[in-house]
Amino acid sequence: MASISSYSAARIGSLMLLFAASLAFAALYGKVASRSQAIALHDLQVADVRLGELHIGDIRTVSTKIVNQSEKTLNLDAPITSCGCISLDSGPIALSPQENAELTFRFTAPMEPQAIERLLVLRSSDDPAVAWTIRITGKTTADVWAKPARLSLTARKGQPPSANLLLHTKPGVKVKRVKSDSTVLKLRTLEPQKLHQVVVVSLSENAEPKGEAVISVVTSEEDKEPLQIRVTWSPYTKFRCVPQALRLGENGEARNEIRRTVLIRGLTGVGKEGITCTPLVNWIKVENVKVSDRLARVELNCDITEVPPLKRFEVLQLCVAGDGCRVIEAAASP
Amino acid sequence: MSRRTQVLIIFALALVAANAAILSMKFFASSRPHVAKEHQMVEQVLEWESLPATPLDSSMENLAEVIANFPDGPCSGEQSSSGVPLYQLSQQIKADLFIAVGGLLQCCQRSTPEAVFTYMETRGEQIDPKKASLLKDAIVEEQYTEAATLDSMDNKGLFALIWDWNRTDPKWSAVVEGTGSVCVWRCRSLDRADAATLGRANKKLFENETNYLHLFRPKQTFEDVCKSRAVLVADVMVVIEHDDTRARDRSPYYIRFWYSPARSAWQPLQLKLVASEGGSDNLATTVPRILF
Repeated sequence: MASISSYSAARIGSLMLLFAASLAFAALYGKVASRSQAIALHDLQVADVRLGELHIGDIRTVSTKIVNQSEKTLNLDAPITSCGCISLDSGPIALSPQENAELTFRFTAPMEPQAIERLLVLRSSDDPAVAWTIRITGKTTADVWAKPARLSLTARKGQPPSANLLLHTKPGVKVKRVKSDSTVLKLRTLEPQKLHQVVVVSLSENAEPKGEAVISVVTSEEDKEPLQIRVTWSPYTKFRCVPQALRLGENGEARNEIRRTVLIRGLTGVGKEGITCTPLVNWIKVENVKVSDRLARVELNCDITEVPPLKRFEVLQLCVAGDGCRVIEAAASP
Repeated sequence: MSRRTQVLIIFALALVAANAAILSMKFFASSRPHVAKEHQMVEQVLEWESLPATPLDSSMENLAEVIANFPDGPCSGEQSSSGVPLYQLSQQIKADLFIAVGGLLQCCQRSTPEAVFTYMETRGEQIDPKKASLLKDAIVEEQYTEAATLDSMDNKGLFALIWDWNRTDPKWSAVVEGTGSVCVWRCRSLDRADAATLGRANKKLFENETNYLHLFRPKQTFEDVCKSRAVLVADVMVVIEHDDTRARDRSPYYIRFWYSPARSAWQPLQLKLVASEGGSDNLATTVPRILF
């Protein structure tokens, strides 16, 4: 009898211990999980944006309304876009219960006819798992379009650069004239095919090392605006930079003392005196330049306290003696 | 207190402590200060720049030795659960893998269509007619040459023409020692071998990737074999030093090979570059052009 009762007591004790352990686990888990459950109760009303028919390269400013339909204040991160074709200045958004806000953005249409399907994502600052998506739809049309839509040529010593442009046309439309606004660009039009035509673009030897020009394409539909193709050229720079662009202030990084290093790679026989670092904005400072072997380390200190978020700035010019210059860009996160 | 109760108390305490540790790690992970990606990028590039490199025009024995010294794995992501340690492979399979990798590195360094064509022939691969047909259309559309000329060419001539049209120039110079890795794994379904599964970590860090077209195919393709049985796949990472025209830039390439049981040889499948420049701006105009 005694053995049975002691066995029962031990069993009850062990069950109680397990129950206590489970409770402790539930309490800990609940502390974490309750956050997402609370956020899930929030409801944001968003509306998709229909752009309709756009001409290639058109720029539209569009607004869409968002409404916090929940009973709690909703904190949203700065909107994320699915392509560089959407630009907006909006930083983080806080919406009180039932409050609404206009989200205004600029949309740049693609440079060839196609269906548009892009996204604008709003993410809860309180829970990264909660997000709302605004679909941006429409389509682009054109009588004539070029591939690539813009040309970037690199001039090397003794090698005048050239590239091919492929002009596509809608059925029934013909390319009438292709001309450049600069005499240093030479255009050679090959025999037209059914729905496309090749234009060989080359740079004459007397061109400045750096420059830009515009090629205009006039079609048989004379009343329409000519297609304009931007052509830029620059000298070949042998050295390379890592990173090519800086992203500052991400994930709560201190905005007034951001330290970054930019590497210059591919140096041959260049000393410290051969490297010039010129800040292009007053909120970036070059603290130190160290040169070793084929590498230079440029140490920067950035203060973006007063800098508007999300824009890209040209912040630093790095020049290597006899090998040209490169410009580093930076973007500030909210 | 009985011994059993003591054990139970210890067990319960351990359970609570383990759960607390796991959950607090999860909870605090999101609030930990973020190490800027650019710092990681710079550190990684500095590490690659500091290591010695073996020229790719050195002997095959030299190259095979460098490759044989690559660490075995570890396989990551989806491949980790089906990894096969190198020591489990037979000497013949291992040796052929090192020769297959070394051969590809050398023919890319030679940068001639003949070198690549010959390498593919030794691997039992011929130009894939479907892919060649698509390229022929593009070549004719751009008026690079006439359709009749293309049709009259043999495979070697056609490849040389595609090579020129593509302005192919890998600009490979040396392999950086002590940086590569080999992960051999058993592939049981085609989607597991998707090119997206190659080089994920560096792709995430440098935010770019370039997948190169594999213009060749063996008689029995990877897809044919993978439909019916598990296939051995080797994911090889090599950091390549480019030539002077690319400022001796060092970037990781990922090469995926598969083992053909019919030929008892490793076949090239995919090639990917993650340019160690950070970002994809202007990348399309600056990455080396490769056909393999």
